[in-house]
Amino acid sequence: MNARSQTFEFAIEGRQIAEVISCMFHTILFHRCVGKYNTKGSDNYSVGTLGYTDIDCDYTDFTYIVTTSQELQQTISDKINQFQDKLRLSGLNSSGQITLEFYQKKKSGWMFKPEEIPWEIWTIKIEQMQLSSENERQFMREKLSDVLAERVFQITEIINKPDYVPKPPHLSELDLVFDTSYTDIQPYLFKINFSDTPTIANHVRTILKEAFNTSL
Amino acid sequence: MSDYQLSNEDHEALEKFTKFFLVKAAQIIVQSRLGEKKITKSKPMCSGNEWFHLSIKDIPEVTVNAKKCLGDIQHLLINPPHSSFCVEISLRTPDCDTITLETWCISFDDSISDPAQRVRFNIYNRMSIVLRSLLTCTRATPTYQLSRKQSADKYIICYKMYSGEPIVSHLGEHYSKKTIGSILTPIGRFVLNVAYRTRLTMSLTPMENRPISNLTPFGIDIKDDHFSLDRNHHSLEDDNDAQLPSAHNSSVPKSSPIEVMKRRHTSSESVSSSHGTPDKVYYSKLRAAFAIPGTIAHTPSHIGSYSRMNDNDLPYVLMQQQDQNSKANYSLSADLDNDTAPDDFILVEVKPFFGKSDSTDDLALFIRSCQQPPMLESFVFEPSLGETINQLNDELRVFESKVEEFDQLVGTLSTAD
Repeated sequence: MNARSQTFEFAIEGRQIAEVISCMFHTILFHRCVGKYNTKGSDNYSVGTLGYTDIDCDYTDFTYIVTTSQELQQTISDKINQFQDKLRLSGLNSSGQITLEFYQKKKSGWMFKPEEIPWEIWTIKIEQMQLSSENERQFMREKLSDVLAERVFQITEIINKPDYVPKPPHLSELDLVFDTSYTDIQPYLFKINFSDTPTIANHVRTILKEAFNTSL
Repeated sequence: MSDYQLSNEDHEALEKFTKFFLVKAAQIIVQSRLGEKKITKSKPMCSGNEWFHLSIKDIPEVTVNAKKCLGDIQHLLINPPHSSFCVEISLRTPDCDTITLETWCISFDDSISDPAQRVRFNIYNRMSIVLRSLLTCTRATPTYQLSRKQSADKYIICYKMYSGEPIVSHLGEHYSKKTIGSILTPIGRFVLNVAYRTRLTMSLTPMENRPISNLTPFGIDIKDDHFSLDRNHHSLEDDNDAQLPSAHNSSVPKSSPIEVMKRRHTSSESVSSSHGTPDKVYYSKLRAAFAIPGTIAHTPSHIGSYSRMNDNDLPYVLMQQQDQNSKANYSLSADLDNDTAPDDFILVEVKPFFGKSDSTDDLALFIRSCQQPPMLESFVFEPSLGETINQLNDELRVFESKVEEFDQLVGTLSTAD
C-alpha cells in the first residue's frame, strides 16, 4: 500500500514559520484524533470527547483550531521550534521541509520490531524570505492569511475524501494504530521529521536508515 | 433516487443522528460568529451528553431556533422533499443597514448513496469528521475576522436559519463557494457547503422614506428581498424570530443578533429596555432636581449628585433658599398645590377673594405675582466674596467719612419732643 502524500509550500519570513506549520499540523491533527478510549473489560469501551481551542496568529490575521491537549500541543510545538531554529540558523534565505507522517504498526514476528507503515504524509516546504520594508511585511501579512485560509479548505477537502484510514483495531491492539500515550486524547500514530535542505541524497539516506531500523 | 431501504431501526437512528448533526452544525456556525475565541475541554471520560465525541457547548436559543426551523420530522433532510437546512450570516450597522455575508447549507442528495455504510458506526464517525471540518473552516472565511471586530457602535453580526434552497443572490457578484465535507449513507449523501461574499465594499443606495446615512466603512447595499415573504420555499422565519432580549428593533424581525450581543450591550441598553432610552433616564433625574425650587444647578453632574444628597450636605446658600421657600409655602393658600418650580406645567386655578376666577383678571394676576415673586437681584447676580468685601470696605469708608453727620442725626433724634 502506498501512502498518500500532500505537499504545501510557503515562502514566508522567519518569524512566521512556527505559526504556519502549527496551523497546518493542528488542522490536520484535529481530524486525525479520536477521544480517549476507556476500556471496561475485554470488549467494552467508551470514547472520550475532543475539545478545541482557537489560536490567534501573531504575525498574520488568522485563527486556527487546535485539539485541546496540553501534551499534544507541547509535542508539536517542540518539534516545530526545533525546525524553525535550525532553519533560521542555516541562513537568511534558507529553505527546508517538515513532515507530519501518520503510520500504523504491523507485527512482523516476535523477534522483530513492529513494522511502521505510513498511510498519510503531509509535507510542508518552507522557503525563508527577508523583507526589507514595512509595506512588504504588511502585504505579506495580509497575503499569508488568504493563503492559510485556502490551505485549510484544501486540508478539509483531502481529509473528507473516502480514502484509506486505519480501522479501529481490537482493543488489545489499539497501540498499533493509535498513540495511547496521551492522557486526554488519542491521535493516530504520527511522527514529525524535518530537514533543512531537502535533497535527493538526504531523502535516500532517510529511506535507507528507516529500512535498516525496521528490519532489526 | 436510491432504492435501498433502511431498516426501521437504522432509519430512526439516522433521523436522530441527522437532527443532532444539523443542530450541532448550527451551533458551530453561530458560535464562530460571536466575536470571541472558543475553548472547550477534552474529556477522557465521556459523560454521555456530547454528541459526535466533540465538546461543543450549546447555546439554548440556537438549539431552539434550529429545532423550530427543522420543524417536525417531515422537514428533516433525509425525508422527501429533502429541504436543505441553511444558516445565513449577515452584518448589521447601527443604522439598521444589513449586508449578507455567508450562507451555510446542508443538503441531501438521494441520487448518490453507498449501501455499505453502517449507520451506527461509519455515518456517525463521518458526521464527527465533517463537524470538525466545519469548525476549522468557520475560522477560514473572511467573516470570521469581521466578527472578531464587531461592536455595538460599528456593526453586529446576525444569523438566520431557514429550510429550503440556499439564497446566494445577495452575496454579491463574485461570491466564493466551498464544500466543507460530505457523508455517504445507504439512502443518499449529505453535503455541507458554504457560499461567502468576497467583496465587502459597495456603494450606499438610499431608499425612499429613509434618511441617507453617512457611508460606513463597508458602504452598505440596501437589502433586496431578504425579508420578503414571497419565497416559494418553506420558511419558518415567522416562527424563527427568537427575539433575543437584545433584538429590540422591531423593524428587523427576521434576524437575531448573535447571543453575545446581550453581554456586549452596555447598561444603557438594559436601561432602554426597562426605563426608556438613556436620554430619558437622564431627563428624569433633571426633573427630580427641578422639583425643589431654587435648586437649579449649572451642570448635570451637580443635578445628579444633588439628588442623592441629604440636607447635611447641602451648600449653605441652597439650605437658606430651601428654608425661605418652605416658609413661603407655609404661608400660601391651601388651595395651591403648586409646590414645584414656577415654570412647572401643573395648572393651578387661582381663586381670588371677591374676584372673578378668570385668571386674566387684574386681581388674579396680582395675587399670582405676589405668590410667585421674581428672584431677588442679589441672588441672580450674586457677587463673589472678593467683590462683597470690597463693597463693604467702600461702604465703611463712606460711613467713616460721614461720622459727624450721623452723630448730628442721632443727636436730633434723642432731643426730639
